[in-house]
Amino acid sequence: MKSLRLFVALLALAVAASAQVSSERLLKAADDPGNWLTYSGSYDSQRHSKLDQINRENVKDLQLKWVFHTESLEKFQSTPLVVDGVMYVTQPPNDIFALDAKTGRKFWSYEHIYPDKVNVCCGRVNRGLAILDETLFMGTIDGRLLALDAKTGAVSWDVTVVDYTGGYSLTMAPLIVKDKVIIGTAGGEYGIRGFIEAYDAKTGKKLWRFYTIPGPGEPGNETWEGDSWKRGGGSAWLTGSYDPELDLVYWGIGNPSPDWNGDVRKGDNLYSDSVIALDPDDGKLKWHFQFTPHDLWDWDSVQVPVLVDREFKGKQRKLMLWGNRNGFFYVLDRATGEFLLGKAFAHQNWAKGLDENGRPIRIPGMGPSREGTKVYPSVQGATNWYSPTYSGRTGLFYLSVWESYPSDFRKGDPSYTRGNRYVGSLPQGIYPDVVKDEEPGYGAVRALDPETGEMEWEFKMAEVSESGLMSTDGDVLFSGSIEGQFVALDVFTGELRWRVNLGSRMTNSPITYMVDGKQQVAVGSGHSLFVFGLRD
Amino acid sequence: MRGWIVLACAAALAVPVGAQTGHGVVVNSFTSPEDVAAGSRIFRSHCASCHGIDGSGAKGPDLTPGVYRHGSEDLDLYNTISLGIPGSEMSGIFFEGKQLWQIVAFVRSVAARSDGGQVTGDPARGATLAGGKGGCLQCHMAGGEGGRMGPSLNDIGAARSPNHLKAAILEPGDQVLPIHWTVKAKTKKGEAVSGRRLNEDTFSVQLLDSNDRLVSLAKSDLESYEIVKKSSMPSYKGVLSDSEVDDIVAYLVSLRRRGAVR
Repeated sequence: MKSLRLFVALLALAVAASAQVSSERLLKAADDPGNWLTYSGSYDSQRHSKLDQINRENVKDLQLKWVFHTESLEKFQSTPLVVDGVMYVTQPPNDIFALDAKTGRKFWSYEHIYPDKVNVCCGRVNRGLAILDETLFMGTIDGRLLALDAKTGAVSWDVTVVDYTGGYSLTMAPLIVKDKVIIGTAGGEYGIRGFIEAYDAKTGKKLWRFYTIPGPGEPGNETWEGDSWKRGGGSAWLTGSYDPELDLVYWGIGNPSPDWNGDVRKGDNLYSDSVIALDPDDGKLKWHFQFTPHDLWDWDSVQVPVLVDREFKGKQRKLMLWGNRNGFFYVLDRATGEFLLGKAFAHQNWAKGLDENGRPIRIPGMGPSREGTKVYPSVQGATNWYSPTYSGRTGLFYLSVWESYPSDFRKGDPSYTRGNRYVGSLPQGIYPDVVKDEEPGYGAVRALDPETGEMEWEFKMAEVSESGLMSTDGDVLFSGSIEGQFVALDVFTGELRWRVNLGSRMTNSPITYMVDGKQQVAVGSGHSLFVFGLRD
Repeated sequence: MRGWIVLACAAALAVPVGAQTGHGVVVNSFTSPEDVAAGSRIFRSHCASCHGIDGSGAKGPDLTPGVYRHGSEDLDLYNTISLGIPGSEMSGIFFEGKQLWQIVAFVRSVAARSDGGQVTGDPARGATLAGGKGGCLQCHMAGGEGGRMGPSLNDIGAARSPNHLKAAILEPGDQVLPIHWTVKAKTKKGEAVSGRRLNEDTFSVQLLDSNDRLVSLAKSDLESYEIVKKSSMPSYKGVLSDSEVDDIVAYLVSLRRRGAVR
């Protein structure tokens, strides 16, 4: 009898666990902090969790709960999803594992077969999945979009978004808006013409495509000389954000092609290095803001748009906060795209500053040259794709910073052959491990005040960081380093509260969730995922 | 298995455009100055961020010695460039035939510019000199013996050409890679520690100290901490005769770990 009751109780639990991730549930993801339902945790992409069991005082008591080892030597850049006790994580490039979020034990896995040769600039990577109802969605490095049953891993549809042999690949976690799956393409080093597309989540039918590089007759095409727009780049390789009230999706767009020689693409090169606001129903452009017109340094503006409602200069506003690869921090009005504030957050030597419209005032002679031009920030940027976080409890914006890393930008002659690099000449990075005659810079987590762009505090690291950030209502900020140190910082002061050496480079962003009423923190290091919780 | 098929295809591709010798070795036939220049342009776009514009190495290996870990024959280079190196950051590229051979030609040209040179000395005499008059083994490990303050020479023949080695002996230069930096530290208890800096992160430093002990120090325990980035290797110009240097070079070139090079 007792066992029957237990069985019924377990059945009830199982039924609860099968509740669907409806689009309404996605809208309220921030109020459902026991789960991690989207790439950035919620549509505003603040990567802030309302969980507070783990706080500044007890974070020192975290202990390892379980580890998941991938069987891939590719870079592990995936952010897991957690849905009602099940964790979904990708193993690079495109295998999927469904794990018990409490123990790490596998429910099922999906193996993706892909071609031997896939041209991706920076590793065969994947950054995660999206979920709607009981279906998972994944873009693949060979240009496909897959829908899979979240309970079994069975593929329900598999469409070719784009021909990968042209240098295209899908590396981002898709974004679900209403009944649509939205995804963009990587390939900015291969002379692609970038786009963002929406698919019907049920059928895989393509609903719209927005070209990030406008064609003839479209506004913005005049910012490209001749037919340079055809190979203009403008990739999208990180997940965008969504404002349900304004009903706008926001997406960061990558560099123009060829990267380091702008002679063949004179003009501002819209919408490269821009944020675009699209109507999710038809893909129509509502506004755009370009951070680096006519980019010559490969400063993709793919960063995740962070949406914040708060007071700014005495007025309640709907803001967008943006730490850009070009070294400047921006505050925009996300209803209109109006530029409100901009300030350098790291050493840079290419612009005198920003004008009243947020356009950089360029210093002449800082583009790539035949003999090499030393420019700060480096080709990697003052920050890059590593997710920032915003805490409403402090009102501060936090980001990973590469301070004082230059590159030697060389100019070469670009020539296009389909599927191969179309870049000009690759910059020579000055990395900490190959420093010959330069003092190395350093990596840091920095806290910025959006009202002023001023730095409130920084946590310095011996080496740079490729880790995203996550903050919580426990007033803890989690981050990592390429040294493999997983750190917990005080959101108010940046003080180190706890750390553990996970042994290898951290190239994704931490997440947090609950199992059995207990808060867990998960983070990748090297080729493995580590999950921590408080001592039982 | 899939890899083998690709390899076979690449080899099949290679044969029509390369000249085949009687020994079955495929040799690059795209080696004109124009081919080298074309290869250089592709190299700048695809390879230079890791290998340097001149191939002298940065994040990726130095290509100028003309000796390559994944094979030094033309076809080895062709395949390595075409297919990439699995498990490393080096990906393959979509070029085939002529353009790949032009990259091979450019890689050969940077190795030729560094003028690999020939072995003229006697390796046995060189071994004796390295352990004796040269004093190399005071700091370097060679053939499994020697000191630990300098880089190991156990496999140096696979990585450096004769001329490169000769130059390194006569004009060592004071710039060294971070892995060869040294550390001078003083603990809060007053103990002085120095040695070769093996690793470092935000919170700690790992070193091989002057007594050959592996030491890990917490930075929070240190009163002072200094990194010395200069080489302490002296020049052997005028210390060793020309023929003695040639003998040591011959010895170093002979130092190759079995199985490391095809």
